[in-house]
Amino acid sequence: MKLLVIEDDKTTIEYIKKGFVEQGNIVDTAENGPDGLFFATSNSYDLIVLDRMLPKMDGLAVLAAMRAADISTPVIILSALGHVDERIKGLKAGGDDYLAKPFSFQELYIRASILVERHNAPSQVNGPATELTIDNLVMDLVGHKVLRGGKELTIQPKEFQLLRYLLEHQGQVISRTLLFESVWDYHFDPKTNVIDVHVAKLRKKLEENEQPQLIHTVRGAGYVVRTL
Amino acid sequence: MWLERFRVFIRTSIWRFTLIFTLIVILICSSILAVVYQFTVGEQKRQIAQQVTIAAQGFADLSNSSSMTETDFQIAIQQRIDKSGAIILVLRNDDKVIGNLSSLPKNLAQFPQLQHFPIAVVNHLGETTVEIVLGTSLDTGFGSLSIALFDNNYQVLEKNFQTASIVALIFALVITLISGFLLNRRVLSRVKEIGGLTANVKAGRLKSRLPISTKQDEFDMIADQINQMLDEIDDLVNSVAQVTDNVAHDLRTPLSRIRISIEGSLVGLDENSIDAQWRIGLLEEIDQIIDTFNAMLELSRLEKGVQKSAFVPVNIETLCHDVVDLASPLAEEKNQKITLHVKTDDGLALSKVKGEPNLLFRAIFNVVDNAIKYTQESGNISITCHTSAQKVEIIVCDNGPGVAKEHYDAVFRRLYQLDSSRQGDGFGLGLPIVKAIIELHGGSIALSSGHPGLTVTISLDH
Repeated sequence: MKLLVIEDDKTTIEYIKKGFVEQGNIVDTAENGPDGLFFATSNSYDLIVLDRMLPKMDGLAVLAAMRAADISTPVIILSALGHVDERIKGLKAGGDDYLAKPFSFQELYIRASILVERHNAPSQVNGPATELTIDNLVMDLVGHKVLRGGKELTIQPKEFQLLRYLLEHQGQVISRTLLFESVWDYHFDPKTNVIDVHVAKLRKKLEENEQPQLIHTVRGAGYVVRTL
Repeated sequence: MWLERFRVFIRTSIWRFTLIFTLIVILICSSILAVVYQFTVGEQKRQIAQQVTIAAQGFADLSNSSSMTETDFQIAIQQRIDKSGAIILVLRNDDKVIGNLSSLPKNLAQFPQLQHFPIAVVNHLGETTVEIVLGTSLDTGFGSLSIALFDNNYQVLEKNFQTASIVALIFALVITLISGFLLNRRVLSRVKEIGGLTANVKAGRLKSRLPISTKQDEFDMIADQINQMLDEIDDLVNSVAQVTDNVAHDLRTPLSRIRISIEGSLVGLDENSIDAQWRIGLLEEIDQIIDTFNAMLELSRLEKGVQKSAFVPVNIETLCHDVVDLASPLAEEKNQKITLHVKTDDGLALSKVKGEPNLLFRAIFNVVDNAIKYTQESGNISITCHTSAQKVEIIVCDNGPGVAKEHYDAVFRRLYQLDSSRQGDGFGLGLPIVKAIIELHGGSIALSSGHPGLTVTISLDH
């Protein structure tokens, strides 16, 4: 994928660029607001990473100008201001996600992949999915049932949502905070192992009767659902 | 309660001053009354005594004159009675009694001694009354003569004087006590203002100040000085907070860079190699430092009271359900029982509060998370969401070891660790952040003992 990173801190730019390039992506960079806006309007990108505080032109102003120019490219806002009202402001201005500094590259990468995938996904022709499957696991979204090897599992509503989110992003690493935000819809870092405990509980249910492991832990990053 | 307030009231120096002042006023009044008495009632008394003495002396002289006969003496007595209605004269010689009184007390004082004694009088309406007269008895050659004078004026005067004195004294007493009471209350209310301020400051509300009236009295002078002192303290606290904020803020950037470098150096390493494990350990340590700095900065920001723009109606009941949903596996891990009770007073709708849902969720989750963390295995944690007409209360009870009462205030202080072995996430910033969030929403948080365990009560206004 092709990305544009608008960020004034050179270290951060290098860090983001290096990470994305290593994963086989193309990265353009801009170090101030007007340059960023110029790149964004003259080229086509899959994703834009935008710093909140930029010299010459504020990040939110760049975003507003981009959206006004009908550029619907997904935007992740980076900010040292990791506060709730800042987040809301950023999303209101047309941002798709918000990441507080300092962040781990893993987290940025996970979120970037999900945003790009969502943006590029062809609109559902056959209506919304009614079933998600992996291996011998079937998730019936209409009947709210989960079957593993034909056997129905008793699953709590939140566990259902957790599993659904992971299955919808099969093969993608999902961070703990992203899981928490998607399933509980609250935005803050709970700073405890609470998500791990939830995942462990779900995992135990899925692996009953010596079924093979589906949810895998990625150290320092999060979880991924895949068959071995 | 009432008795205690009364005790406080009478213990004050102003009240003692009032009592002394009252005593002095009563003494002054009494001495003035005594002087007035001497010059009015006392004078009247002396005049009557003098009149009795003069009359008695006159009759004594008359009876002693050589030309006086018994008949003439009796005529003189009769003439005197006719002339004045106020005089009583009785001459008793053997069994014969002459005069305007049928009987006289025996043992009447002998002239020149005078004595008060009662007599029965029939007035013009035919009613019998008892009057006190002043008189004496005189031995003459014609028998024993009793002389007495009505002193109605004197009696009325004395009685009036007594009434007037009592009324005056009661007035003086009441006026001084009332003025003392009012004065006391005013002074006490000013003193209480100062007391309230010190309590506020002690509770961490450094922004409280004393009101200063336009009177510029001694209390205003004290208030002004206290306010100046508080301004100074507030400035110092702010500058210290500002410095720590700056340090936290400035250190975050280099820490982020270190983090970036370490994370970058992990690429291509086998995740399970010793080298990678060591680097991951470093990352976790750095993350913890960054988290602490972030928490400190966030706390300062919350305490400055911004973010109100993001307030929306929040359903606390749903929020509590979500918290329990999130926290229950943590409790399950420790075999603890976690329960949620929702109570709504009759006729009330949903428990909505204006606020920021993420912050409120975080505050309540933090309290529940603490309860789980510090309660032993197989303990109980109960969460009650109680909606009443004025407020929504979230009460989190556990039956863990609890917190000693003397630490109740301290646990809300930043970086305060109840027990040094409890180093963990948040580094003593969890509860201060909870408190800051609740106070940002205009609510309050209080700790109490759950006998055993700890009860945390969060209350938020509608």
